[in-house]
Amino acid sequence: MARLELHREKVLTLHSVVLPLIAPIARRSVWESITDEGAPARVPEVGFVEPMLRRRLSSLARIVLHVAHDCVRDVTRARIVFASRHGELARTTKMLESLATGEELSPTLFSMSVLNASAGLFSILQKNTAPSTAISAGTASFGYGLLEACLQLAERPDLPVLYLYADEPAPADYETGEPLDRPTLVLGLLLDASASTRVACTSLATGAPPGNEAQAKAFIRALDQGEGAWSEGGRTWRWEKNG
Amino acid sequence: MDMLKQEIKRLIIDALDLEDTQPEDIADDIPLFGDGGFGLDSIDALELGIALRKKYKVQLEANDAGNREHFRSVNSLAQLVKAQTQAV
Repeated sequence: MARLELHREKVLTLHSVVLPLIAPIARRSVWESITDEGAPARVPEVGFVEPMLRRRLSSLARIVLHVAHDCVRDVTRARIVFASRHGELARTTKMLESLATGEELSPTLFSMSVLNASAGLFSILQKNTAPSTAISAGTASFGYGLLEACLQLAERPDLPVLYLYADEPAPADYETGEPLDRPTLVLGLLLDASASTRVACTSLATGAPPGNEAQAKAFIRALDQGEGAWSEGGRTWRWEKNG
Repeated sequence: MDMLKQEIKRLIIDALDLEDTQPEDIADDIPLFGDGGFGLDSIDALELGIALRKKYKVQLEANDAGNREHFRSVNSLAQLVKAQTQAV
């Protein structure tokens, strides 16, 4: 018991040292499957991807590549942090359905079914050999992904970090408890130590009840209106933009 | 045989999601794989193998050196399908 307490104290100390983290945001790009006017959005064309590669992209991967491309522009060397709760789960589900009906598995589906397939493709397209990290942390995947991206930038400020968050609802079979009609949301942030837009991120135990919103939406609100908060499991994540 | 070639071209387009390709864009004798040909890759080869097994019950051995020759072009695939479907 004593050892457990000690361990917990260490974790708390670590949190108080690294938080609040500052996210310096040079560029951002957002894609949602429902537009602000409530209409369904068209999946982007991604004309910059050569056709032989493009044909294998899922709609989620197309959106991620579009957002990533929009964020980096001329910055070809950036580390990539990719966060998603479900990633390419729709593809894995298709493969499981094939297995269940005794059909052979599609090699194309298999090769593109890992969580961070689109981040890998983007690095290939850009010939970017900088490190790439994938994070999945349940409904708080966005927050933990951003935490990882900020820590990487703090550790080495001279190399920007492209942070990509992407989620579409899991196939209905999974019963995740998340609303199935929640829009697909992809958010890209280019973190650069010299950026003037800075967002302070904290994550504290507050006992606040959980809301119904996707975590990344609360962050987008902070970018647009200065402040956003999101709670789950008695912990509240808060983001505040400077000035 | 021409009907079969046409059918195989359609199978290639459908199985490999070749979005903007029409059957007439694939010449009977163009090398399907590798540089300078139609540009398909090793994942396409596996995918195409599955589609051929499913549609024509073609038997292919995993490490058969002859596969490279069978998969060379639409012509060679048509010969493979014809030979195996006649043998049954």
